[in-house]
Amino acid sequence: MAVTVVQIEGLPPSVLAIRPGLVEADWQLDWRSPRRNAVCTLTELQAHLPIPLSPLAQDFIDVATAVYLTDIAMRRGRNEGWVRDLELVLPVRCPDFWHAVADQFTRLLQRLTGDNFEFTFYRCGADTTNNNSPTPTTATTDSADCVCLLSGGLDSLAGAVMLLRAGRRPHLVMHYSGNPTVRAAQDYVQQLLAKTWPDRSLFSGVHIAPDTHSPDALLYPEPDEREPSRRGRSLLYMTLSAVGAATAGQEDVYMAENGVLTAALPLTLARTGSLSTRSTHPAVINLFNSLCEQAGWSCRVQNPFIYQTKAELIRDILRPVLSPLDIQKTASCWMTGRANRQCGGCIPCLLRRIAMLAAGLPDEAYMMDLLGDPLPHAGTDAFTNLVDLLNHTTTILAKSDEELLREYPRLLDLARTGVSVSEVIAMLRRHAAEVEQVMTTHFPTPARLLEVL
Amino acid sequence: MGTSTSQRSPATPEWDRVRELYQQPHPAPGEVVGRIIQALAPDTRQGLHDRAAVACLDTLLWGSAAVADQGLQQFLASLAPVEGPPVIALAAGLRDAATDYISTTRAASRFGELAIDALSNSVLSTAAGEQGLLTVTTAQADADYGRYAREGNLSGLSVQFLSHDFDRVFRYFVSRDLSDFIGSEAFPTVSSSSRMLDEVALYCRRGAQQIDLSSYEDQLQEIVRLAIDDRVQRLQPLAVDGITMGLEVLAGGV
Repeated sequence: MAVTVVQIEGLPPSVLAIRPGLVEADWQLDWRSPRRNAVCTLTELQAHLPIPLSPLAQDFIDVATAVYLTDIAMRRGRNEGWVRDLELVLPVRCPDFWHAVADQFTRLLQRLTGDNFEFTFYRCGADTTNNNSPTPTTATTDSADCVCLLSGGLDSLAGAVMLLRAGRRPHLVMHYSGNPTVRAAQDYVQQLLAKTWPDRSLFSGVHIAPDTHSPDALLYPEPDEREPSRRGRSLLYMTLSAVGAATAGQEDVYMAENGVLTAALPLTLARTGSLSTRSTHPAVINLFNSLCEQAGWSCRVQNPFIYQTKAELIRDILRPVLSPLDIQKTASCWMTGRANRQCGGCIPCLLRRIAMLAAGLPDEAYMMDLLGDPLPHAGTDAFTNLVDLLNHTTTILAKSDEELLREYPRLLDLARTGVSVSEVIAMLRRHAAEVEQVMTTHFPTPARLLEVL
Repeated sequence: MGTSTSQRSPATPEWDRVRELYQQPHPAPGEVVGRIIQALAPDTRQGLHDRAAVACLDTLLWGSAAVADQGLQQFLASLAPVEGPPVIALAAGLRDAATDYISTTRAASRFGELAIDALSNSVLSTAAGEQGLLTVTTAQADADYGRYAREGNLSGLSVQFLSHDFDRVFRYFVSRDLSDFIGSEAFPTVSSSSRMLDEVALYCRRGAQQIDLSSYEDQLQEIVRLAIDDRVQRLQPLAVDGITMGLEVLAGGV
């Protein structure tokens, strides 16, 4: 059964008169009124833009925020119950645009999250400009020539460094994390870039998150009841950066992610569909860019690292200009938000640890030494992550290109995006070789599972 | 949880009986598949032929009919051109068409995701014939894929789809739990688990070849000429029959 989520603030009374049931929707969202259950703070971004956000740009941010909050609020089921049916009822300033792109937007979100989305858009009933919007002062983005998303992670740092080394002047846009460990990494990365390349970049932090601290706040799931998969969040990141670029008249928007996670092949068939993230998949980015085009914006989101492994980003882009310590200050762990330390057992931790060693950096400390001593973790999700990664490595190295196309038909999704499938396969083979080499050199037990020792 | 995650099968006695087999070296693929079929909950069985899965079967049949009518070159142009080998362009285009339909009709599901892959593999196998995916010519792919519609064998093409669908569905079921047993005496290396999965895939593909849908052939020739919503609706009974027959064959041992 579909779950209905309503962005209640801004919904005209006439709509509520026609659909009184909306006030009893499964969840109501609000980030503007005293009853708000979320926060959407764009102060830094708006202060850096030469002109106020257009009504359509504000719509993009509102719609992406509603999707982001809905994605968090709605728990997925297990196994075949993973896919959700979601109906969102949203007030917008430009309903004609949203009605025209509704099918395309639904396709984008289905590819991104694996879920079924249905949207009902109504014209806003009242002025809903962001109430914390500052009056733009100096057009500081005049000094920037592109936008680059920054997360506090290693790949996005590589994206920013690549641009700065090439003489570009990026406007760095970051979605602030509420987690202190991730936030510390974000602050460090921001300061590192400002120190290494003074006056070459502009920084805007944005804070969008659930927030139920107000005594009158509408209900929202408690933290331990929220959905942790967060497959929809890259829509918000793309939106924030595209809105920044479009408002400042810039064309290039960079969302940097290594090729392995971008290609998003499931490590096993048990990780099919959106069990494997498609946050930077070219098909998703292309659909988003098409939305921007229909909005009349000339900006285009791009991922410069589709053909590079994480180890290559460290070795070729970061290491020549940053110290190992600086690189290690980034955060990759999926579980950091829950445990305040890099866990060592999630896929991002495994890929990071392997990449660091493959690039010749020192090993890092993690909560669990899964690679050093995996067998005591048998039966856990962490152990499953490791053996599935090893299984995938074996498959990539053992099969021909044609066999890989049959084993991973998702590669075909790249063929229609202008990406070279053969170059992606070559990148996957280099990555698999890095995994094998790191296991052989550093970790005998996984190496024996791989039969390389 | 993470950028990639997997979920184990439900904690039921029936699924425990499946997992027992993973504690043994070289479990027979037929026995694994048979126990999985016994463990399937009714709504999971229903899901095997849900609207998304049927839409994928429809896309495969419709594609063959379109190639028979228009020729592959013209059909590929209508799908929006993709550079590269024609079979890759065809499989990618049909995959995209099915995905778009599933998205806009809000029919996405777990078994739909697996069926999209089955659609792709069906196209790759049938259109490439004996030749390589990257080397087959447009004319040969046209002949090999279009012949199912030209020669009145859309029921045979449906069986091809079901064989790839069962392959992926049962490997999905096995993969959910098998990783827990890697490193044990039964599955000491990742290669040993890969061999087990390959055996399950082969068992399913062979078993599905025994499905007989020839009684639907006349209907199929009509159905592929209809509008897409009608096609998907009218293919539903065939999908139910095909899946039911397939499960019976696979449960009985091939």
